[in-house]
Amino acid sequence: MRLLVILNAAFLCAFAVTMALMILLNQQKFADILRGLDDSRVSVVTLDTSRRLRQAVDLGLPLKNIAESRSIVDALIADYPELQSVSIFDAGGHVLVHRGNELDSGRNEAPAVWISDNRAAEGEVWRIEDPESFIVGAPVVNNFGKLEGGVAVRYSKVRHSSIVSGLTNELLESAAIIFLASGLLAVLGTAAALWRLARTARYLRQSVENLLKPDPDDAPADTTLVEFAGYSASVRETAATLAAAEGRAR
Amino acid sequence: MTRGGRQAPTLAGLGLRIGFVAVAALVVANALLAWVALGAVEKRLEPVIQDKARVLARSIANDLYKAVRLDIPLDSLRGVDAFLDNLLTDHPEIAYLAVTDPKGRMLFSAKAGNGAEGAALPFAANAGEARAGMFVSSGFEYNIAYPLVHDGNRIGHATIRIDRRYVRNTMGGIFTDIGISLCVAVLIVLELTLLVLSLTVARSTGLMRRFMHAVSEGDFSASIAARGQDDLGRVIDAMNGINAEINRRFRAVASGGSAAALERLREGRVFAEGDAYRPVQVLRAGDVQYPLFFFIFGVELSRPFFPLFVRDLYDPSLGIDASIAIATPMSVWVIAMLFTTPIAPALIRRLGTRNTLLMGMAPTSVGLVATAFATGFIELIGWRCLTAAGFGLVTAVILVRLAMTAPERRRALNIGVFVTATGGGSVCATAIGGILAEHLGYENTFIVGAAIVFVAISIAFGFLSPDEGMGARVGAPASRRRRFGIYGNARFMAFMALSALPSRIVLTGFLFFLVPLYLDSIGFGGAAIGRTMMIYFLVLLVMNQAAALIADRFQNHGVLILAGGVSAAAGCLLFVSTVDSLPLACGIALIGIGQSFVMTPQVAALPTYFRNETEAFGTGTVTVAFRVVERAGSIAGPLLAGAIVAAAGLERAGVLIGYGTFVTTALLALFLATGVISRRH
Repeated sequence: MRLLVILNAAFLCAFAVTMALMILLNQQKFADILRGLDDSRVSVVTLDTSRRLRQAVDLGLPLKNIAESRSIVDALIADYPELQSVSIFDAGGHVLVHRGNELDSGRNEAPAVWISDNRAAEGEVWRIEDPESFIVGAPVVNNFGKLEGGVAVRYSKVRHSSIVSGLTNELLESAAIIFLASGLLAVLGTAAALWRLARTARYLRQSVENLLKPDPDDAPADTTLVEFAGYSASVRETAATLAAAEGRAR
Repeated sequence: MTRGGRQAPTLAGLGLRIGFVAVAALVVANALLAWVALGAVEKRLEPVIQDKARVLARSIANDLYKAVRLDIPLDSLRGVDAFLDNLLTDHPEIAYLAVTDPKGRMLFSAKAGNGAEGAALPFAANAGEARAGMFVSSGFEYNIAYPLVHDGNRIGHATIRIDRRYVRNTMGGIFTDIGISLCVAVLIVLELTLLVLSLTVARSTGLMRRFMHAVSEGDFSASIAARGQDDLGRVIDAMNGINAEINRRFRAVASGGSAAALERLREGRVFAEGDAYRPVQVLRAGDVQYPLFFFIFGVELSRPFFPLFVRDLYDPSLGIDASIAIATPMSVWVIAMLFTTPIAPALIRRLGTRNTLLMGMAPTSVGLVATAFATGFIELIGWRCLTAAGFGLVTAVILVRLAMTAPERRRALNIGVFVTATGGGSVCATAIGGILAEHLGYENTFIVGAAIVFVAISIAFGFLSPDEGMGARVGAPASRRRRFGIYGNARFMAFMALSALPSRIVLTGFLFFLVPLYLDSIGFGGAAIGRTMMIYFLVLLVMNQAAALIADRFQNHGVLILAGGVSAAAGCLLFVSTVDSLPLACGIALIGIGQSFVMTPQVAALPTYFRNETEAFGTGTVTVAFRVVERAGSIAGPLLAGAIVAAAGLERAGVLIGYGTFVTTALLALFLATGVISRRH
């Protein structure tokens, strides 16, 4: 029984660790793919917006004078409810149009990191994250290569984390059931394998206990230990010698 | 004694059956979980991919609309195919993109991967029938059509097909990691099975055999200290009971019987006079194999990323070059080991094997945790010294214990226990260490390592006797002249410089230092670095035994050492000449083959090549000198590689180490051929 408990405690620990690692690997890979897809989707929206603004800028209008920008941002917020905010800012970081949740930096100024990343992006999409949101941005550059400003789209981490935690919970529930089933399988299999050992040990104990009994039980003397023959002969012979000595003493 | 059909199970058979059951349960459970996970992931990603496809279809429609607004007919637009091709590159989940006219005639299209050119795109032709933005599923694909509208008229459609196998293919990236984790788990389950059976069934059976043998020789003064009440424990209790009863009756006879009767009783027999029993002990090599396996597993977990971890802590204000700074903790590790290794025999004599082992394992575990929290380079060096000091003590204690428990003719077999445990632990550690580092971070992986060392501590504490090894004599110290005279021997030192030193430089300078940095520089992640380095330990595990067998069978140590040198050099050169996975793996395997051909035959060749020196200084002194030079090579390896990297870059450093090994091997070949080293006595 003790052997069964020790063996299965060790096995169950190994099962639990392996399954935890499996859940961790799946969860992290899933989170990476999900983030990549979300990011790519928002990038398409952001680049589209930046291109539409560029068409106006190319006509010679400064970014702040583009009347269409307000309606573009309104349409985005209406079409994609998962977006937290859409902001258009000029090259100096002054926010020209903003819809959605307030910015930490205030209504009129874009965060410094947006401005620096927007400047370094060289026409490509830039990505950052803060504790609550993922942010995807794209610069608006006119046809002379001058940076006019940028677009920044924030989307919440909550949706991402809730989808990931939904997967984790589902995997944990499944893992718990699979763990119990595999644990039961291991316990039953180990018990079956150890049953013969226990039976052999029981026979051996009975054989040992029979050695000094005047009327031995009709127990099977079953053992494969070759040393048992010499052992039992020596015990019996010594017991007989002791009995003779005890008889003489009486 | 044995009744037919009631054969007791052998230990090997029992281990096989239990191991099979446990491994089967483990594999089935994890396969089932992987299947469930894949389904759950697909279910959650499908709507996300559909959302993205919708946005992309709308974006394509908007882009085309800009042209259409200027009254340019859709089919006259130029460069649309290239535009669609670019989109496919940016969005790997899309199988194809197409633009059709209102009748479903294909105007432009782009197809991902190896899709057959000109193959029918059935959905595109029927795009007009689909509702705008509505997904239509067909077989393994999802399709979406987005209408292009101008002046209220539908002038065409942007259609997108999503490859639903994308999720499966992308998730497939983790299957290698899952497979490796499962293989390591299988190895651990088998080790655990053998550990428990060895420490319970095999130990009890060994004790019973020794006890029965003593009694059959007439020695009734022995007793076994039983550990817990299991079936075998009850047999031991019964046997102790028989001895107690015999001794009780002997004492009763002795108190009232005649001297002649007592003399007859004592003839050929030993009793426990005064109720003092002699404890029966069985020292088995396997007792330390399992704690050693888990200990090495825990410590080596950081092997695939350690240089990268040091690089993150590197402080330029210290004024040391980055490459040399990264190499320093690895060299300091060997130096710290040198301080604790020699005190192992004295500590065993005073404290016993178990307590000395615990004395080494505890600081190692603490050192690993402290390394995880190290905030600076100097602090890291300090904690690595503590970890290495413990590591050196533990490996020395286990080697001494194995030497103590083995009869002369089985010594090689006992050292095999050491090689198997360290090899197995290293394979598991490098494979899993990389995966854990990638997913949990370097710091948490150190803490996992410390936890595994704690498992080793528990096994050592629970299963080794506290007083075992106390007072044992473990070799007499040699005189000062005998100890140091060997270092002035030119032939011996030439052999060391051309064989032992280069092989250690390849190991610590190339494999442990340069390989992780090189793989990181070509974009390998932690898991991939671990997988690549694992090949070395796997090859070593298999080839070590083969090299030993070949060396013993053919007595061709010199040829093997030369072949090993060439193989290691070729491995170094191949490794730094490529960025492809397969040649990189082949390079590591060649280094593994080279090291296994050099390591074992080197030791075996010492008595043959240096018979005079062995007679003059003693086998122990020559072997110790060999180990000291090896350790010096281990210290120099990372520093040398670091200095070359600082001066010439990673690739050049690898090439130089490779050519350097070639040159030393060629010189060794020359010396062996001319009989300078290998002259027969």
